[in-house]
Amino acid sequence: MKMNKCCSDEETLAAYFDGLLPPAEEAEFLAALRSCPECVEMVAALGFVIGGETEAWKSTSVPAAVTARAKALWPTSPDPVSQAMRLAVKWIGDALSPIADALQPMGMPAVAMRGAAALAHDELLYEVELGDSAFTISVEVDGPTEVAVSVRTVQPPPPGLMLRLRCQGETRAMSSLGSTGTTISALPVGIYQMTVEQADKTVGQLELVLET
Amino acid sequence: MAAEAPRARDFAVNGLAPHPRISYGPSMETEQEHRDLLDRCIKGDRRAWNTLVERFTRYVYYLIQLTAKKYTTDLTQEEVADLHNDLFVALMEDDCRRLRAFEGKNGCSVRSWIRIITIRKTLDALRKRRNHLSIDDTDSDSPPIHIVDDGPNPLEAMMAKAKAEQRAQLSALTEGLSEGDRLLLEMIYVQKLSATAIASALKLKKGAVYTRKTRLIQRLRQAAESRGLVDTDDSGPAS
Repeated sequence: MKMNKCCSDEETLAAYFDGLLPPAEEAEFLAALRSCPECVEMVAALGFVIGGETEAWKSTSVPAAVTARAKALWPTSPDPVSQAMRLAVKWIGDALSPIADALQPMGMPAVAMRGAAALAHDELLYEVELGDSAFTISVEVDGPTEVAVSVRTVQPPPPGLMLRLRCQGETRAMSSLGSTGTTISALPVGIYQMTVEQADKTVGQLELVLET
Repeated sequence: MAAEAPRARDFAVNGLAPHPRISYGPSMETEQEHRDLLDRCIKGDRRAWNTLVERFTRYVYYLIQLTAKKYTTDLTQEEVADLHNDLFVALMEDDCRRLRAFEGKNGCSVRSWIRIITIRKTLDALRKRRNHLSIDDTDSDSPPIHIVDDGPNPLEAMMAKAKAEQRAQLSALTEGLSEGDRLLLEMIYVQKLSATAIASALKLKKGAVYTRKTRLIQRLRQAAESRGLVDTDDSGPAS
């Protein structure tokens, strides 16, 4: 149906059917309808459907694939490879010795860090071992210049584990690593040192280069 | 606990109750959440988009099915899914142009706004399939009733009796009517819409349309008689 200017404003239509238009504006709306049969037809059609609306939508079953398809509309880079390039996360995982050496003088336990990144949808997933614990780290783009990092323990973690993120020597985020892990959102891009601590002692650390 | 939604202003004309319908005037707590989601989507927050989709997926899906049902059209699951997808495409295309344009004018809630967009898009899709959609009285329990009687149009009858110079006066009679009443006359006698269609457009119960029409014609007749445009003993059609 051809929409004329008088009725093309969806917000005015919504306010009209919710009874929210001020009287003067409603009179103007109705006057515009008088001169436009197409708009009358459209408003009647909207009212016809809205008049039949109930609360049944709350129990409407939507196939998961339908919702997932709508979510997937959010633009992503053209292919996984370029996305991986865009969201580059590097870690000094296999470089066990330098970190261990660095930690040893501080009286820290030896650190075992191994891992490999896997790209799942638009998240980068890492499996990492720090000290005696294994973690899954996922990194997602959280905004144009922000990143979210989620850390989960593969097995129930020892008590008192803390996660600390430092950037340029300053602590930017600190969070307890409970049984469900933690998510730190809206991290500005940059180079971070992620440290897992227990009782003020470093269990392990790695470097994250977060870019969007 | 969510704040109670402001009561929508009743659309009551001549003391007639409006047709009951679900109103989505803003419930401040969820409305603020919804607007925050829109803002975050505009800023490029993919998580906000996911939340927005989750928040409205049921409602959009329901509205598509409801629109098809009201027009007795069977849509396949794939068609409903495609329309559902089209709605969200419409929200985010052109760098979220539609989301950016939302202002919440007159207290318009995000949910009501999405409702209008969804139904319009679905109606457009149904029209492409059927060329024409008509609102008739077949969804009612009562048999179809035509709002325009078989008898002479009372306005035309009055007009016929009026002399040429009086016609302007008769026309002036409608000038004193509210926009709602003038629109009602237009829909009944010019556009010849069904009572259901008129009730839908004016947010009235169908019975109220008949009552309002009768009162309106009586008022016009009395005004015409008082001005000498028609004979007071004229017993012409009044409904």
